[in-house]
Amino acid sequence: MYKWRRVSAAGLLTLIIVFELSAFSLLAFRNSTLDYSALAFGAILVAMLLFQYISLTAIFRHLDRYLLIIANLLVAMGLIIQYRIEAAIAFRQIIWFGIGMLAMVVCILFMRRPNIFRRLNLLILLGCIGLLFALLLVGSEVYGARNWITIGGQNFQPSEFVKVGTVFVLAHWLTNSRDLRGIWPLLFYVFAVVALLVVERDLGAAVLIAGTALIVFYVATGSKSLTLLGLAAGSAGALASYYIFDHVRVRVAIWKNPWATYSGKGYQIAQGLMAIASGGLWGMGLTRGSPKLIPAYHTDYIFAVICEEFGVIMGVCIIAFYLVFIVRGALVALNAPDRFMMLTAFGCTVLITLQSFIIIAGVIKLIPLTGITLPFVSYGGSSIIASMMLLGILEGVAIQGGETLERALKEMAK
Amino acid sequence: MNTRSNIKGMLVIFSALFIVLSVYLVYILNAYGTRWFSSPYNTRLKSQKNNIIAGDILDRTGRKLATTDSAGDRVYISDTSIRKATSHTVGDNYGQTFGAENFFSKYLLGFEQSIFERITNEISGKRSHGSDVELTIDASLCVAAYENMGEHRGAVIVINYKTGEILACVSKPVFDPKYVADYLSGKRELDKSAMVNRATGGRYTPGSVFKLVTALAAIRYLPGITEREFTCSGPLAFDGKTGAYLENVLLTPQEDAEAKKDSEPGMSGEYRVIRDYNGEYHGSLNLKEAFSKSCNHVFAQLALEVGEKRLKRTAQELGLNDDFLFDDLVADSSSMGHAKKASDLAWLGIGQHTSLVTPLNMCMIAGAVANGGVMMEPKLLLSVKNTMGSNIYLLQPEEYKKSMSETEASTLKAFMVEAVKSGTGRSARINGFAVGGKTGTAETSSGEKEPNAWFVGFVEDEEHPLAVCVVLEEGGSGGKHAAPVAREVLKKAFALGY
Repeated sequence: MYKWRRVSAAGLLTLIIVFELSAFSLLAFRNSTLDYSALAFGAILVAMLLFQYISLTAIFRHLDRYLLIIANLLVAMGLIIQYRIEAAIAFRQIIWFGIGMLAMVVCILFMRRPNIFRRLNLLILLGCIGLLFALLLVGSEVYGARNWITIGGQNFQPSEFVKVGTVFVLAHWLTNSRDLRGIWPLLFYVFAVVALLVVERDLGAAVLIAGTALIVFYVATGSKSLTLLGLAAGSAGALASYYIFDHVRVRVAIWKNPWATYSGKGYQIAQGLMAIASGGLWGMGLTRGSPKLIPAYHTDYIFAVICEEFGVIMGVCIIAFYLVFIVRGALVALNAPDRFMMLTAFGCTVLITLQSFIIIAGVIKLIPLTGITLPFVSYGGSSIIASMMLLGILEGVAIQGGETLERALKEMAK
Repeated sequence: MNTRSNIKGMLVIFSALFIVLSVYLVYILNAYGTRWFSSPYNTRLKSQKNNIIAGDILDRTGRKLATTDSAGDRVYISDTSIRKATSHTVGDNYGQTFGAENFFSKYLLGFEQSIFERITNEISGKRSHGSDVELTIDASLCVAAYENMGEHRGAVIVINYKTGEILACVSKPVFDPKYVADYLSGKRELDKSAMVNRATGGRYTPGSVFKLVTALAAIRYLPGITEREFTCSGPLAFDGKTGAYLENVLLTPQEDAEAKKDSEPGMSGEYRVIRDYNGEYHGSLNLKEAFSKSCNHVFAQLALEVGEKRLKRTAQELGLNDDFLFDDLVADSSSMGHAKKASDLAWLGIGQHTSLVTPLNMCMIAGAVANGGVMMEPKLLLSVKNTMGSNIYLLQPEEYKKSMSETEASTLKAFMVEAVKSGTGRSARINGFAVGGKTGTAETSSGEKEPNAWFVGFVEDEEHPLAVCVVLEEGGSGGKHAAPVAREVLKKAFALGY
């Protein structure tokens, strides 16, 4: 059984490498002159993936290979699209991916001593709120949301890291206590973070964090009534924001009929839908679409670009890959050695779930669009580093879980 | 472990969410893909037009309605009357209409070509060709319909009710696809709203053709209704203020005529009234006779008896209020209005008040009656041929919905045949053929304009399964003006072998 698993994971990786190499070869030949940098880029990416996979699986026998491979697949998909749109973007992104890999390893290592996160919890909690509060003062506005901060010439999106912090805060407080009185700092934290994000107009992140908090709370406490109460409060908040904030009303109106305001606010959604429709089932083919027509083509809207060039069939595959990732993530949580790690791993899984669902559903007009990145795929340094950190935490828990199990088995054998 | 089972529960929910996501993605592609793709906003089409020689558009007899000349310009058939009669169906090259030029652009511009074809094109280095599109319409039938409409605005549509193929689809006023650039630049004048395809997108007050819906609802929900004797002795009276039906107030035609003089339109003294066409009253009659004579008195009463809910449900089963997401064409939806009071409901039952229907929808209803209750999806695309001469698409008839049972259909069919044999639709009679139909004379404003003339009908014949719908704006009486147009169009269709 174990052997089969290993072989098939490696097989999947081979498949990704073949796909990725053929995509970059295609990109290299798209113009009359051979684009050597595309080939080089493809080779570097393959080297990175192989090095990462081989070294990590060699060091950590209990690493969850599927989580790693699917994340790599999604990153490779993103890089192909980014290179196809503009090589310079992809070069920047692959560096961020490298940094993300390091961040992942750091997270794996830290998860060997998970108590660090528990002891530093108050620091994380206050740090996250402070970070968002600082944004209000020094942040810069991009696409109508004040959620960027510039440090040393690099733009960061602190809300991405707040997501990671939230996982630990949630897990910490919910490990000990199951009633409301015991977790008041957590309630305060969630309320403050969501309120700050709404004020900064980062609605996607606000919904994401509120949703994650609610789901993890439910899982940890099992209290249906309180969860429903939280859901009701969240819905009331959403409804209130619909009436209070213009931009929320506009989002909903665009969602109902993007074509009515095609030349204005509905432009992005309409372009996304046309891109998906133009791709059809099998896609127009790599390099044959017109992704630049869609605003945010390499970040929030990358899913529409994938559908345009690789077809809805690939869109469905991407959705399926996320689902496999989520199932594996939940399995890691179920096999976690203790309650804190279980909640941490599940928190990471929920974040990836909600984030990918919210943006894909927004792009295909199932729900109103809220600007948020597609985890692992979208361009963006903060986004990919945060996603890789979540992956690292999951892997860390998986390794701990595996080792604990192995020790227990050895005990029994004695 | 409570938390563990909660995690498993959430996992089930997450899986469901993601399954919904992928199902919805495939659904929107299927339902809206062509519409979004051929949207005038889709600039991919424009750029593709420069890279590719667009394919031809042919009618079902092989006439080239649109083609691309050696200079790469889009040219339309030289026969002016064909060009005009088919203008809305063929469409234009500037993304102004939802004609074939736009809606089938994925074929015409070669977006649907196979990889093999693309590679051959790439290697040969020639500017590649899009696929040819063959439509279900017959241009000569379109011209016949166009000419028979005379000076009226309006629409004519002929459908094969067994397969759903649209044989003719004409909307007036027309535009000339040859001069669309001139219309856009203002060099040429265009008739008002000439770009609108009235056959598929014109939402008209139905008038008496709506009695098809009311009749079906009555047959369905009021047992024994076909045996009942009605008396049509004068106008139906409603309370002037509340609009409540006054069952016991029986106005005679004489009393009404007396009171009418000093009253506002639609009123008779203190009462709000529904009168019959031209003040005729039909005396004692059964449902079939009431239908054939298009008796307002009886049908308004039937609507009250059936009730709004059941009338609306019946209308829905006939396609009203549906989003018509057909594969081959863009069609607006018809809608039945709401009744705030009894008099509204009575008016709805005879097709006045706030209902709006498209000629296409009415034609589909007539087709369903003739086709044993089965409504076929209207089809416009007969086949698509790629540059290698093989068919990449062939029309497959599709059932749109089962609108009524076979017995209901045969009852209604008998009613409609009777209406043409001896009722209001007599002008649609054709010797040797069993034609059925319903006329309509739809008031659109109180007395200032002529009413719109409607005829919707079918031929009950295995060899000639045709459904037809005619609307003439401000055409006057449906029986006098629309029915003869339908007759002539059907005769032409027979002559052409349909």
